[in-house]
Amino acid sequence: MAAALPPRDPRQLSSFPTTPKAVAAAKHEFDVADLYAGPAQTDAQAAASAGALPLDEKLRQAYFWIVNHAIISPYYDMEFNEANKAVRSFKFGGVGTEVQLPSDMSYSSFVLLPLLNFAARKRALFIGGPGRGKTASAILLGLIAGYSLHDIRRAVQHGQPQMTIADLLGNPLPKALVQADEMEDIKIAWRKWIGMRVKIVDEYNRIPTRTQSALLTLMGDGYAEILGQTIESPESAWFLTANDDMGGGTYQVIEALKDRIDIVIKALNFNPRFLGDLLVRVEERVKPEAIVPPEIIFTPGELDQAYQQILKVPIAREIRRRIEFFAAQFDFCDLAAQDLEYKSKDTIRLAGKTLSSVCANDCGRDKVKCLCSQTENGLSVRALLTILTFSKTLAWFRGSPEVTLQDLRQVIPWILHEKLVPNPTSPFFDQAQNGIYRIDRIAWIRKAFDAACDEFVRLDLDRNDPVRDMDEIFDRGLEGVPEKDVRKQLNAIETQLANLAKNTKLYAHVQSDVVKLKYYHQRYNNYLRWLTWQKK
Amino acid sequence: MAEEIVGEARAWLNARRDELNARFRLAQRRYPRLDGALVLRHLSEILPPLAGKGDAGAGELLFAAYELILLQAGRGLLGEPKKLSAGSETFAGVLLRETFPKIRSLLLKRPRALMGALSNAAENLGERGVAFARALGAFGGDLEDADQLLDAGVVLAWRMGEPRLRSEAFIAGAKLPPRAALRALGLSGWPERAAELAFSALQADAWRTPEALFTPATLNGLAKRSAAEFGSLRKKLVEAPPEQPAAWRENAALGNFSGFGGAFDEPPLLLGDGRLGNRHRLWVLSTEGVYRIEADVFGWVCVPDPHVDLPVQEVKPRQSKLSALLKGKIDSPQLYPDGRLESVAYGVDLPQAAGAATFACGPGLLAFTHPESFRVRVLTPERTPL
Repeated sequence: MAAALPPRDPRQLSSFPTTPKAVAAAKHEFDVADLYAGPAQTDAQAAASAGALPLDEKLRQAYFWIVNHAIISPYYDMEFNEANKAVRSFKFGGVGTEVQLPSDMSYSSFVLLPLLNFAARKRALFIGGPGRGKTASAILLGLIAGYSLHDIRRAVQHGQPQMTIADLLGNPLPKALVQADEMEDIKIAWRKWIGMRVKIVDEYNRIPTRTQSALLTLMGDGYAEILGQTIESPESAWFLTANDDMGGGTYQVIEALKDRIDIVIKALNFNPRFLGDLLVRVEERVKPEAIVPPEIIFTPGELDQAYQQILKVPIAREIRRRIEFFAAQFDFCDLAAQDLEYKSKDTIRLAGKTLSSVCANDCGRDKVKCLCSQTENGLSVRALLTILTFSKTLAWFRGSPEVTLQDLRQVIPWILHEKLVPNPTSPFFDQAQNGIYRIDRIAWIRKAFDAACDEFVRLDLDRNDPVRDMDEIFDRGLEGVPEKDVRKQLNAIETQLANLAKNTKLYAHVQSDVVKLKYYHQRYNNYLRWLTWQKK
Repeated sequence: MAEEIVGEARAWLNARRDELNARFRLAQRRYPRLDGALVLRHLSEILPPLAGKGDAGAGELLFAAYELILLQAGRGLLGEPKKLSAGSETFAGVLLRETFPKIRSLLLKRPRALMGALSNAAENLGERGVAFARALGAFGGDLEDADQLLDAGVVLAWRMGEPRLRSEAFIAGAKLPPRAALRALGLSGWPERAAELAFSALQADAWRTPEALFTPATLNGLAKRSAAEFGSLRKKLVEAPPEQPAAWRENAALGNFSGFGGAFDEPPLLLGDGRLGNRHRLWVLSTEGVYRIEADVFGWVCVPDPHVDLPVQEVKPRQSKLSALLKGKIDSPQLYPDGRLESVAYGVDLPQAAGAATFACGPGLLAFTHPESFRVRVLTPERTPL
């Protein structure tokens, strides 16, 4: 429990528990580390149990402290609703904006997403105009990671056109440079920020292209290299900022660097109705970064433990299937190739064409309804990994025992914001009511996710998944499976393929099912050949 | 009245008196029944053997022991000072009084981490905790560093009946010196060369007791074997269990199925759908739901597994071949009420399994239940010692 402080005192923490609901324990899978875990403290446990506050609760307290006292962000745009509870909504004149009052605890993306990125050790990009609190937010996260304000300020990398690799990473020591006979003898004075768990790169789109490449290696591969010497960076949370991500920086950001960014955070404008809060800050000379409560500061041990807990949050098959179904929609293009395996937008790009030109031909689908027409590209493996990690992190933060559909719905748009490239010529965007989605990418991606979920339900795929039984049987392994059972499975796969071919077009999700069925067929077939060879 | 503490332990207590008293008061708030006089008696017994002669790290070691004493005394798990008997001893008492002094040199390297971890492990092993704690003490002279102590703990815990640690135990065992690896498997009388063979054999078939792997003559002659002979012996040991063994032996009777989230009201029923993919994992149904049993030659563990959807595999009277063919089950192994196990490839009479109610069958393994017993019995092929 936080110590009693006067109302509105900026050091005030929210009371425990911040989520007043019973939290069911997650299903505990056996972990060999459990042998040595228990009531007696080991080093890692000692660090984590100082306040005996659960780590997810600690992060929630950090969220509420930031949102109440540090960053004035009254936007509850990550909305959650309780099941079976009516949501009140109000429709306004103009273009017909609908305002909903969420029934469950909802959050401000500008505060929550950086915290999730911090806990999940990913790479976030703040975008938004100057003076919106992008760098200030990143600095707060550095303080919550336990660094001093002095260290954090020194560690912030300020992008500017003259920034060199040496500025970013470090210099060879002059004495070693003169005396060294071999490259290995040159000692490098590495910049301290490389070893920190929170890394902040301000205005990254003002960094020269060559220096961006060095940043890419550090960000993507976790090490830096100068004159043949390397230094490993610990797993860390990255915060990059850009005033204008659409090319308005001094230098064009290289695509590979953009691709390494896991999540985009929009810095929203200041709501003038909260001018009173600003006035208090001016009059009281309040500097949030100077009064971060010690209760919300995480030790390295706690951060490691929190990350372990996040990774253990389960994603049930039903939820995973929704992700699979949604992800399958974007990369597929029936017109891209003749063979099943190459019906991908990559094939189009490699041929030097655009989706717009290919998609203009008829493929027998409703291009307003089918999601495949809406994007120029599909989802990369990196994007899918990020979705899995952030949905687990959000569920953990909310105290949920497993990932829910609402977690996915809230987190996916921010992850795919810079990853899904819309196809502006798609008939979908030409619909009068859909024109807004050319501008509002968050709403567009969320609508696409909703549409995919609706279609999933319409097809009743929770109950009629054509691959589910085969998945379960295959997961038991092939070892010891008798020939008769193998033939039975081969027959079942062929029957299923015949059913799909007869009853449905090759939609995007059907293609992914067919690829998997073909894969299983091949695996069983190879095993059967081996069994037959063994009998001889 | 506690005995007077003398020597290094006394000097250490004096030097940190205020801090230690504050720690005690903190612990007493958490465990109101923590008795100061009792704690003093524990300290006078436990600390002097751990204090040594002022060597580096001894202070940290004593502090970790002090914390553990407060924790376990507060929880009532430290037993009675100087009244240790077979009936009243606890894992924590054995660890602090017997085991830690024997492995003191290893503990000095990471006192807090090791003492806490070993105490947790002994507690997690439940009834086997005391035996685990005592067995750990024997490793003192065999190990070179603290990590090996934890590895030895993994192998030891597996051997003491935690089958979920099996795959980790093979990795841990490979990192141990042969003498320690053998000791962890309870084979301390064996020659060092046998360590690798024992682990390889268990990796190939963890339903074989290591003691039944070799004849005494083979074991005694192991040191003199050439590399080629040793290789050939190893090759034979890692052979998979025969699909059609000449004889079967009852290898395990798994559990009486009470205490895993409530006693079973009725004997468990084995679940299955054809052949088992994993010889060490079975599922049973009770009135409480589905449970997963992880088992091997050293023991078994039963945990609820509500997400499994497998049918009960009943022992049914023989049906006509035509009827079996129509039902599509002719190729799956079948156990019949008279104890005959049949598949397309072979048939064998197993009198032990006569009258079984349900069964599960895998390569070189038959598990079955009797209608009047709460145990799952496991038959595995009889294999001749090499």
